[in-house]
Amino acid sequence: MDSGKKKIIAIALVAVLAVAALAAALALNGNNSSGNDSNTTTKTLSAIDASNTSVTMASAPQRIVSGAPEISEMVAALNMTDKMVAVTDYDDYPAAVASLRDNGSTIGGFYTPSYEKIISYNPDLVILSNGVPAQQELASQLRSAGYTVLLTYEASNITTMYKNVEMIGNVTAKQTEATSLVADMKAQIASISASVAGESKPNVLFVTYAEAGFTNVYPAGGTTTIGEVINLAGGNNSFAEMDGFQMASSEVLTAKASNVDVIIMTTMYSTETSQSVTTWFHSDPTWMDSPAVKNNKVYFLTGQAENIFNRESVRTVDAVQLLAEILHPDKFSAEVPFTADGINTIGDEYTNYLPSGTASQSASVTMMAAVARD
Amino acid sequence: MEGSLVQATKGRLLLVLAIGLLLLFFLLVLSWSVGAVDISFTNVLNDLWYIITHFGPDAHNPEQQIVWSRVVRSVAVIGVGIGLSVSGAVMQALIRNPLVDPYITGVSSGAALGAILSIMAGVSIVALADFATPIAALIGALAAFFITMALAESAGGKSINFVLSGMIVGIALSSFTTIIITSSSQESKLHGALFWLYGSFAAITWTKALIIILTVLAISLILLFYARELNVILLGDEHAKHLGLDVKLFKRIIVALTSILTAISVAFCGVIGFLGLIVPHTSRMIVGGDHRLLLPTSMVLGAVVLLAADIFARVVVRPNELAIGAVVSLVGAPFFIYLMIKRRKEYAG
Amino acid sequence: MPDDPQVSIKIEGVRFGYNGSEVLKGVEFEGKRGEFIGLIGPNGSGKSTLMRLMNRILKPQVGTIWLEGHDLDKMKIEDIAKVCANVPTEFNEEFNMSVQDLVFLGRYPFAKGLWWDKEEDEEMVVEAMKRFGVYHLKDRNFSELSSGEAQRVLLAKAVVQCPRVLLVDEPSAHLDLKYKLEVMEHLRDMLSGNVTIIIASHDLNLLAKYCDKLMVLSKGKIVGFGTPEEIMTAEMVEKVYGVEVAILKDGDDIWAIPRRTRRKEDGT
Repeated sequence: MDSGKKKIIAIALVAVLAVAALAAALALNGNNSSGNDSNTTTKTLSAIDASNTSVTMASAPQRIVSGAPEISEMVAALNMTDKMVAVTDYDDYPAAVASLRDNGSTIGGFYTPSYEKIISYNPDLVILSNGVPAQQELASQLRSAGYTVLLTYEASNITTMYKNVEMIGNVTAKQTEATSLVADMKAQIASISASVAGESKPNVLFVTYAEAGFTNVYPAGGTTTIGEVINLAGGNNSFAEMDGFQMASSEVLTAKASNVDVIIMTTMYSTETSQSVTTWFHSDPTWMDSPAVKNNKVYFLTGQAENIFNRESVRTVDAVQLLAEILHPDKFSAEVPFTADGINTIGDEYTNYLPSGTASQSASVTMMAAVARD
Repeated sequence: MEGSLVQATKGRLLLVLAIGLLLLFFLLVLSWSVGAVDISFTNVLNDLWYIITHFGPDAHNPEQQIVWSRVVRSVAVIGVGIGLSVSGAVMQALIRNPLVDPYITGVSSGAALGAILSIMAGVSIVALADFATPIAALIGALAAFFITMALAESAGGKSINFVLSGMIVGIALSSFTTIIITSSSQESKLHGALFWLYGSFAAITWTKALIIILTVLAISLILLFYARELNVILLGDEHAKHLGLDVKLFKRIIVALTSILTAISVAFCGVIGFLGLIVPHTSRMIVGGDHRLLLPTSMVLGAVVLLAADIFARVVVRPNELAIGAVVSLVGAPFFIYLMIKRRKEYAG
Repeated sequence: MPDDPQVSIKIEGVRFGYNGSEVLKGVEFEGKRGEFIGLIGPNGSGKSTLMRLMNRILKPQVGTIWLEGHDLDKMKIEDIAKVCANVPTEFNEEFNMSVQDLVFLGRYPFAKGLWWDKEEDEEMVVEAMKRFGVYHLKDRNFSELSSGEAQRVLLAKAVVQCPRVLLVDEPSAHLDLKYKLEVMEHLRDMLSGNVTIIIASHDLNLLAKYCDKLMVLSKGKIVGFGTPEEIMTAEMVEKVYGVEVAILKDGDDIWAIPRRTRRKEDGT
């Protein structure tokens, strides 16, 4: 090789090494600038989160950023709405959280939260969901910049949701509130289950998504929280054998149609109006004979009524209650209105159908008090 | 007698590089100033000064943190821009066809499959969690490359064999990926998977950016050394042998280097299409086909184009981000159509 | 191993075949330094194959080829390129390369380690382009040139490689008469530099006019090697080409003028 080439290679290597050295220095230092000074204060606020990281706080957080509506609801239920500084674009409950969103204190979407926006609120605690890859990556970015991040478990059952509540309570100095909230929720669910124990279980088809002509149907499978809610409410999930949310084969749907007693449909993702769906049900030869359609036991959920089912959070309890009232109306004094020849829709007013004194009732009381204050 | 031919060529290169680097510098400063949050130009400079003199941003200063995260990101963007453009230029020389892009050896489909498998499996072993997906993508990319090479060699080792086997491997791996995606029941992971497929720099950390830029620069430098040989190989295999080039060995080295380069460019940030196609093309239009000019020009132009695209992707729907691969394709596709029509006579036959 | 420094290229007992059918059936000859050798023979006689064996695109299955006393098979490809240059018939290319870039590539065997070309290289390139009358085309795109211009550019490139052996395959196929003769004259001018030139062509008369020696290839064997006077006979042409000719001599020049194709009694 020519000496000219050798010279170039030598220079290049030296340059690369130099840059590498500088870079290493920066990298080391970047990781050291952690927000938590390691003094000898005893840390009572700690938890192991869903990413197996030990998350600790020296004192209760004052500036919390939430990465999901589920998380915001849990934080609010622990009476920390005044400590929240930013939420996602989809947050809407309770009212205090909704007003954060309305006045622009947001960090972006659920799948695409913005690193820069999160940092701009100077949070001392960021709570994200471990079930979303983008949020996992965001967590490690934030952590290497020295921010405290708590990752909640991806909750596909109610027990995990309790775990998340307690975990948040541990890190935010709200252990007592968390414990009692969980105890309340457990008690409520136990009471509902007791009320419907021994009753025959209606078959429930819970549809989270469907397109025109009842195609591309995604029911809730047995391993989802919704599936668990159905069981606790004294029902039988028509698609208990399905794992997660998958598209149901049209043949299987047709086979099950004659056995379905109740159909619940959430409307958030739907392209069809409840009117057109109802018309279709009544005209389709297979479905018009299904018990659910014949008895008009078809319920459309909108607004907050579907949120309580879609979000694995503190209002899941309300979902169990609501569904139990639909499936076993004679077992409960509170009732969900039913019309035999109209379209049954449940929306934001769902709280009116719950017995007074339930957890979310008190939350909505807080909400109304907050509104009254302003 | 007029000036030396060689001096004229050197002069052209210097001019192009000067303009390109100036443009790059301007875009860099712009990219550090804009994003989900706006930061004034003077603040950016002050923050930068602090970061340089203190070897890192002040942990309690959010603005500095933001500027630092943008600096890190711009390093990665430049790395990938260079990597894809150089790979594209080199593969075009090797296959002797300007319609070739760096994914011709099936590398992108392999990387995609690896990444998607990792994302769907939801790997979160703490220590490597950050790197699980890039490593899986890298393994996938290199595996695809080896399969393509083996197929091509066993079919004769000519350029057309590379193209065909790359296509076959690419399609086969893509179908696996499609099956995995369409039969998945995990909605949240799906979104992550799709975003990866279209390219995203959102999860870049300083370590990752370093790995990208150092590897890219090192391999690009080596490829630059081979600029003359790349000129020779344009003459055709036989002709190149007449001039004393060991064509078989050379091709192997080049394809290996290019595949690593492409794999690194894809592993961390997803598949960004069209860049490796339009940047070398445009560079050829500016400085001609001599690789001693073409490669450095492609490097600079690649960095500039991708940086511009990244700025656009971060600003247009802020605080959300567009997938950068989509942005590049949006501009790249019409541009490419225009190129094809304008220069149609060159591709005839 | 031949010791004679005057021998540029020597072929011993070379046989070569494709897919079982033998094309060259035992070829032997010696080309001396500075000789202008013309290789003639009809299609299928093995001319191109022999050329490609001599520049090691193909390797003989039997026999050895010696280049300036070295076994061609054992030489490094870079070293071969420093001795031997090629002017090919076909030039198939899709890329845009300027004429000057192309001619500069001829210096590649000697300039490999450097990034830019040196002054001496540039001087050689400029001079060669002028000599072959293509300097005014230096910035033009090679793919836009006429066949004649392209052929001259390729010659310039070969010259710039400072070869001691030059292999030229069918150079005048695309050229009109004036350029055909010019090319041959240019080639003959190179002999003063002690370059051995082996040129394969269909054009018997052209080669007969300019070459020192003629080598006749027929059905894979050399059936004649000598001066044009010795080789150019009516019998040879009839036997090898199947054409009846009259041989005409005009001073130093010798011509074969076709009469008609020979026909056998059975009409083939």
